[in-house]
Amino acid sequence: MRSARLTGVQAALGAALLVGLSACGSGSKEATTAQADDRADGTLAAALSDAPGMTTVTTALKSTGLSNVFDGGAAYTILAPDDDAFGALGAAGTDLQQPENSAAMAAILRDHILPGYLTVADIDAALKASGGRPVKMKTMGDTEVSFIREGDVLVVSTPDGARAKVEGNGLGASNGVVIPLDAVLRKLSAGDGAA
Amino acid sequence: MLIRFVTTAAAIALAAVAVNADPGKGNGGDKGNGGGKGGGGDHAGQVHAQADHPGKGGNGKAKSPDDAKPGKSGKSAQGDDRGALRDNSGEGRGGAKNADKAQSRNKDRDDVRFVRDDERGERFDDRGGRGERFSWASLNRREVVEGCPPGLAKKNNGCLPPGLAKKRDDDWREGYDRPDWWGMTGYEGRYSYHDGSLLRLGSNGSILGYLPLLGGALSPGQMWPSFYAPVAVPDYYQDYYNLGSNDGYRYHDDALYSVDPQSQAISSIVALLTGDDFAVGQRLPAGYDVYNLPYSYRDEYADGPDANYRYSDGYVYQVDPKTQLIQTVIELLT
Repeated sequence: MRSARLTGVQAALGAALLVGLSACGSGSKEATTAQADDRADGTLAAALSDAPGMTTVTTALKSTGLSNVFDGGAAYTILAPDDDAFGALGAAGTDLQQPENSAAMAAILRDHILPGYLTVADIDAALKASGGRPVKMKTMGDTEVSFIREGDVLVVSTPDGARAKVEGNGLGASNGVVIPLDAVLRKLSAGDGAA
Repeated sequence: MLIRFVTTAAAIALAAVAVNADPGKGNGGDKGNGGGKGGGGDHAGQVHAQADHPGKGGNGKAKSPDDAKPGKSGKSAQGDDRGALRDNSGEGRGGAKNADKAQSRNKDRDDVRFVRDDERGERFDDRGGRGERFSWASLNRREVVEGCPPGLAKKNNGCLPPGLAKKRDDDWREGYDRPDWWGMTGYEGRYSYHDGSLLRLGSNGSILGYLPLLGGALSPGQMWPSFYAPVAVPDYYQDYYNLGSNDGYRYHDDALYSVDPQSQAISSIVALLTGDDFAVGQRLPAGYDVYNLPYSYRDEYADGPDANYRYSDGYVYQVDPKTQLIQTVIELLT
C-alpha cells in the first residue's frame, strides 16, 4: 500500500503544515520542506494558491482559465515552476504573464500538467523499479517528461532539452499534487534566460 | 469519491449479457458519437449499436475521418476497447434491469462493474460492441476554422491581416507562429499567431481561417466557435467530469469546456485530457511509468507483483507488470 488514507489528525497536520508554509512567505524553498504525501483536504487549486513562491504560476493558471480544472474531482499533478523560475526567463517570463500572451502561457503550463496523483515518492519508486533509468510520464500537452535522480537531486526534463530540479517532496491536495520546480519546462530561445 | 468496483475479466464468460440498468439513457438514438448530437455529421463516426444496452447504443467504435488529419503526435485514432458491463442493481452481473435507475444514475452506481479482458476486447469489437467503446480521437476536429476570427471580424475591415508577417522582435517567440509550438503537429501551410488564435494564411497573406487556442480564443468569456459542433461523450465522462447537460459542454483538442447553452460563451475550462487510447489486451501507452492513482483509490489499487495500476482521463487501468498489457478498465465514479 503506497499511501494510507489520512486520519483526521493527519489531515489536520497536513493542513497546519500548509498554513505554516503560507505564513513563512519567504520564497519557494520553504514550500519544498513538506514531507512526501502531506496532503491537505482542499483542492489542488487551493493548495497551489496557498503555497509560497508560487504566485506566478497560480496567477497564470487563473488568468488562462486553467485553474478551474484543478477545482474539480479529476486528479492532476502540477509540475509548478516557482516564481524564481519565471524570473529566470527574463523578458520572456514577463511577456508570458501579459494578458495578450495567455494562450502561450496556457500552452506552456499544459506541458507541466500530468494525469493523476503522482508524488515524489511514487517517482522514486518507479526509478527504483527501473534500475535507475529515467522514467517517463505523459503530460496534458503534446509531450512527455522524464524523471531521473542525479545524486540526491530529482531532475525532470523534456524532449526539447529543458530541465528543472524538483524542489522537495511536493504538496498533496484532495485532487492532486503540486511538485515545485526551479525552472520552466520549455526550451525558449537563447538569450531569454530560459533553461 | 467512492470506488465502485472492478472485476478482473478473465473468468467472466464472453457470452455474458451486458447488463445495463439504465435503459433510458439513450446514447444510441439521440447522442451517440455518430448520432444526432452534432458529432455525427462532423465526425462521421461509425456507430456499432449495442443491442444489449437498450437505448444506449451508439458508443461504439467511432472511426473518424480525422485519422488522417493533423493531430497530436503519437495519439492514434484507433478504436478503444473500453467496454462496460454495468449492473446498477447491486446484484452483481446479470442482475435485473431496472428502469428506475435511469433517474438515479449518479447516486446509485455502487456496484458498477466495468469489465474487459484481453481476449474479449477484440471480440467485442467484432460483434459490434457490447460495452462502451470510445476514443477521444474520434471527436477530434483539428481542422482550421473557416472564416475570420472574431476579433478581426469585429473590425469590419474585410478581415485584413494585422501586419502578421513582420518578424517577431523578441527571441522567445521563435517558432511561435508554427502550430507545433502549440502542441499541434501535422499542419501544413503558413500560420501566424494573433490574439489567441493561429491564423492560417494564404499565399497572398490573406486569412483563410484560424485555429483557436486554449487560454486564448478558447478561454472563459470567449464565444465558442460554432465550426466545432457539439459532441456527445459517454455518460461516464459526463458524470466524471460533471459536464452537465448535453448542450452545456464542448470538446476540442483534448480539453473539455463548459458553455452557456444560450449564448455559446465559454464558461470555464472543465478538464484537460491526455486523449490517449487504452485498449484491453494492448500495451499500456508510453508515458505511464509512474504510479499515479488518485489519492482516494490508492488503498484499493496498489501496485503489486500481479498487477500495476495507472490512471488516465478518468479511468484506472490494471496492467500486467510483466507484459504491460492492459487487463482491466476501472471506472471511478464520484
